[in-house]
Amino acid sequence: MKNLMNRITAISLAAVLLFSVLGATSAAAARKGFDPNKVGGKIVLTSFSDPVIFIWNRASDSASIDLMGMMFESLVKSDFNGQPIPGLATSWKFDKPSLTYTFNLRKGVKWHDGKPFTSKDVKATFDMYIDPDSVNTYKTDYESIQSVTIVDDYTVKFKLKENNVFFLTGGPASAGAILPAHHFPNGVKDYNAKNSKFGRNPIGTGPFKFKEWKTAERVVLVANKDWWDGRPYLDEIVTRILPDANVEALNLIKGDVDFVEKLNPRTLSEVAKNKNLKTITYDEGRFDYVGWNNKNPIFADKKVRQAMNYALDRQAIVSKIYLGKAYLGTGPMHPTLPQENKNVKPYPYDLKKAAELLDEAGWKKGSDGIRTKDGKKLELEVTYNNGNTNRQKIAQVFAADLKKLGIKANVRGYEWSLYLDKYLKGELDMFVLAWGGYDGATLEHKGFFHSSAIPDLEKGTAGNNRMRVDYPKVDKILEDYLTEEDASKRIKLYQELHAFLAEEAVAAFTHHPKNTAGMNKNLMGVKISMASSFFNIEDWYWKK
Amino acid sequence: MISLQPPAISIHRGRLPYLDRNEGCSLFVYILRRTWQTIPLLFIISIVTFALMTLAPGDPIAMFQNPEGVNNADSLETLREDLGLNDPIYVQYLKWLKLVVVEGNMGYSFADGRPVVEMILERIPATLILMGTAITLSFLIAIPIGIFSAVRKYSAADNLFTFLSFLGISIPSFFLALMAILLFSLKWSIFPVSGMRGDHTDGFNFFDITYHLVLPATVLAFGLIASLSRFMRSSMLEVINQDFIRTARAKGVSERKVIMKHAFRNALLPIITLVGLQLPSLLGGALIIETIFAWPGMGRLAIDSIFNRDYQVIMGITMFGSLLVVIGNLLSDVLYAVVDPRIQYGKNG
Amino acid sequence: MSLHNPAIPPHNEAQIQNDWSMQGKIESRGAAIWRRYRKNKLAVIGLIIIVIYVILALAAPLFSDYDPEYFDLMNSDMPPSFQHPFGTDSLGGDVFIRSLFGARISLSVAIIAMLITLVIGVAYGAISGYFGGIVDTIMMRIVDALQSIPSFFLLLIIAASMTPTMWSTILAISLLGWMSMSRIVRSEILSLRQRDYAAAALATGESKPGIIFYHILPNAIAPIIVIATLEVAGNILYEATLSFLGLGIQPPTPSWGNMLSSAQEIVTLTMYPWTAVFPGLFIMVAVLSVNFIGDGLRDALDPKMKDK
Repeated sequence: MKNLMNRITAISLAAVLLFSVLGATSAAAARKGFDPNKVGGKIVLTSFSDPVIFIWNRASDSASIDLMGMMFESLVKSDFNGQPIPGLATSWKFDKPSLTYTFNLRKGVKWHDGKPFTSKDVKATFDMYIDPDSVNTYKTDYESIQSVTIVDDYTVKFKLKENNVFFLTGGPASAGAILPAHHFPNGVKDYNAKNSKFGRNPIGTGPFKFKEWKTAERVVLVANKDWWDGRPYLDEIVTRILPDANVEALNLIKGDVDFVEKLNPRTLSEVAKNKNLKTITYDEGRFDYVGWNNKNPIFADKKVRQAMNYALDRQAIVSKIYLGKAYLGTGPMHPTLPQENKNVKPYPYDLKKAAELLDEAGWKKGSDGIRTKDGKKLELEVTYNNGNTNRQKIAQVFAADLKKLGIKANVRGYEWSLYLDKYLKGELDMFVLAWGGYDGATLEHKGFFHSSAIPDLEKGTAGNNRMRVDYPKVDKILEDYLTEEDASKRIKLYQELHAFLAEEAVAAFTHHPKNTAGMNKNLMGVKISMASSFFNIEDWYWKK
Repeated sequence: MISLQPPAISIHRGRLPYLDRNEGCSLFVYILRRTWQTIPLLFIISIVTFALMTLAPGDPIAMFQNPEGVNNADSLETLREDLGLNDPIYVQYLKWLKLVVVEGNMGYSFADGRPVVEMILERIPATLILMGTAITLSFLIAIPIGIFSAVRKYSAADNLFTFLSFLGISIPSFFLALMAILLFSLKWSIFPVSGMRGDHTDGFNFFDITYHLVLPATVLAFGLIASLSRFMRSSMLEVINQDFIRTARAKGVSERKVIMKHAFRNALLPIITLVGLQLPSLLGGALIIETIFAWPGMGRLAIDSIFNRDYQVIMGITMFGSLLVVIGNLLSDVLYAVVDPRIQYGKNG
Repeated sequence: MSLHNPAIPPHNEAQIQNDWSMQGKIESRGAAIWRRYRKNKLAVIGLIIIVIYVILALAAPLFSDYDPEYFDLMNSDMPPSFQHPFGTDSLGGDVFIRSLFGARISLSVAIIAMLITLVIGVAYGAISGYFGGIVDTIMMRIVDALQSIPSFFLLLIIAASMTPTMWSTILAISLLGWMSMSRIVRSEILSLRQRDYAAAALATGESKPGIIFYHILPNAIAPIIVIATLEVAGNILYEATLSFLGLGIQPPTPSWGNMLSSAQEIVTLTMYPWTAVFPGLFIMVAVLSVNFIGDGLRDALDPKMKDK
């Protein structure tokens, strides 16, 4: 698997080089392999909630992002493995001494309202993203940009403040969707507008056009027949707003919904029984873990942290809760990515070893069977966010094991807003959570493990290193990874990081889920990449 | 419907506080007075809700955070400042009050910056359709059952209805809803699983909406049917024993006519009040049903906004919901007063 | 009963003479109530069931060695068997044991919430009803306001405003129930304070609170008991619904509500129905029984309230 992945990566890298040298000279009428017989039909998707707003970088919910991904495009697109391929830019060039990227834009691209796409749109968009007043949720991702200048109608230059090896992958060029300048005449003011009209009636350049949004019911997109890469096969995409996974599965089985992105492993057997449905299993770039505040005196002791790892029955979690649909967790790198260190093995489930480690750490069992140290009882709360039944199950099973070890373990669910608030403040003893949204090209953990990302409410900083992992060595690796231009050296760095984090037991990494998408058996062409379920939505079609 | 309990005690004993004086005045003045009284009422509601909501732990900013992805801490802090979440609570309340009273605006959602009024107005029709249907349905079913049970008191059928109505109020509504979906949608494929419209129906298509309405409205009506039929039964029994009925019987009026003409009309009176009283819990029940059936009414909006701590939306919905209840109560009181000649509108008690 | 007068005397003269405060007569009155209660077969059955429930709940630890919070993942979703009479749930918890321990929690929540409601409602209603005038107007206007908020919405806001525990669930439910209780107490008081014995007590120089607590409240007790009983039934359902939304009792602590709501997945309902059926039955039978008891009590405590 890994070798194959490497090969694919290598091939696509070569393809990119080819593209960037030659450039795609004109807007293609139809993409390669286009088959007019596949055209037609509508598909019904689902979402647990309404999109928040259709303005790029103002929403971080999956409904908004998924749908915007179908309507908007960025300069550089990502291929299946996350490698850069031409999008609204046909080619690009990086001049290292002057830290300048030059993009040649695709000609003949039209906005959904018929206006032509030009370099003005690119400049206006990035000016809005980097404006100090901008409500851009991901502003720090754009901090490396100094300025954007127009060379001519189809050429733009990005001047950077510092080199950013992720500029093309996961960085601004691929993550910054281009907005139509003529709909934001007042620039950032329109971008920030509270009740933005554009936010509910978006205009993009992508394969699908916005048609209607009936709050709490559905969002409808239709094919952009003038798309530069040839029209998408589907005529229409209806996204129905359904309250939860259970109702979603009911609708899929009933045939009222055509595609469900993530089925709960437990519902798979019901779906399998239905002859009109099929499933696709795919990897998602993320890791699930049971975490704790590493600055908490209890967890400051490495022995205690390792004991927790030995007490976690990963195999039972994977086989009984996920019904085998997951990889055992060893660290924050997904097992199908080269950054994973194959030598790191998951901690085995060994309560005896865990008990020994706790004894060594000074937590001795008292007369009541509860471990104590310096007169303090070992009492821990294992928490999860309400509504996530799989996490709830992990918490319950883990707590039951901790009890066997003589730890007074309580399980508690918090609703999301409360959970995050307590997590931020470091008030949760242990928490079952996940982190992700990466693929091989965009994997990068500085925001999660670097000491500068430890939230400090007094200083008003609120980074995402809420487990409060703090090692100079980790910081160094994370920083080097961001500036190292040699891909193979970068991979080595993260393999080293992986081993270190596992040895230090900064968290109990539980698993990486293998997701299963359920769909109508006649829906064809579906490919799901690590970063997106709708990676090739324009190529989905109905078997006739 | 979750809170529906059998009408243990005549409900009007506890209610109708405005109708117990005998100083006469016109209906119009009465309505005006009642309307005027709703202002302090709504004021109290707003203070209570705002206090509860803002004292709650949890952070509205959490909804801008991606559970499993990269978040930007600095911009979240800016956002908090922008949304006025760093102000003391009473300042936040006064700002809200100023918005409502001075600008006639209910604020903007934290989540997407839309005006709260707009968000609520687009949801209210669905909720009204669902509740209106449920109420009508329960009247149509419960009243005949109630009359029948009263006339055939202690018969086998009466006992059966009694038992069924107890059963009806003993099942958690969410469970009933799930069962209904499993049986009628999945197993027998009669009705759709969720939603209010087919994917291609725009605006108001009567047949389409009715088709989608059957399951949620029936589940919502279930508890109401149970309690209404019980109440109708005891109300009928009460009336049947009154003098004017005895007189009618003595005069030789046919039993059918006695029941349908004389007793029925009088027994119906307290039912009107009952429905008015049940409105708050019915609206509450609708929230749950809407969530399960993905009905695009206020229910989802309410639950989402509470979970997300979207303060202005919570305030807006509470105020609208309460207003709906107040209006419903006023209507039922007025209706009662109009129908019952013995009532005179009076000063409030 | 006349329809237009909200203040209906709930007791006849004979009962007032047999006032509960008159010690010597308690026995005969209790016997009379029991005699009338017994006549209602459903009420008797309901009482028996609830007594069994309470015994089961109290004796829960005796029934098995299984801990209600013990999970045997390798034996999850097992159908009922000799070892696990109600089967096991998706985590391998024993449904029978969890249902019994669930009875403890669910019944405690319902009953404690009722008691809190009773205290707040009676005190509030009594004060409002006795003092009347502007005090009454203001106090009742507040109740009006709170009652105008769609009840479940209020419940959600209250429940969401606390970290969910058993006590937050109890508090949320009781903060919802006291309003109607206070209304009923108030109207009872309003009618009773016009009575001769209240006037007589006032004339003999008794204090006002004394009059409320020693003379008026005992006479209002019948409807209060009935309402309180019925409230227990409603509270069980509230607990279940709150748990359904994740705001009630938190697993792994078992309550009927959270057991039922964790069994709501379609797979569970279709393939492992026992995980839903048993807690569902427990809820239904408990609510039904309490309702029957309430019905029986209404007939027994106050013959005048009975259907004519």
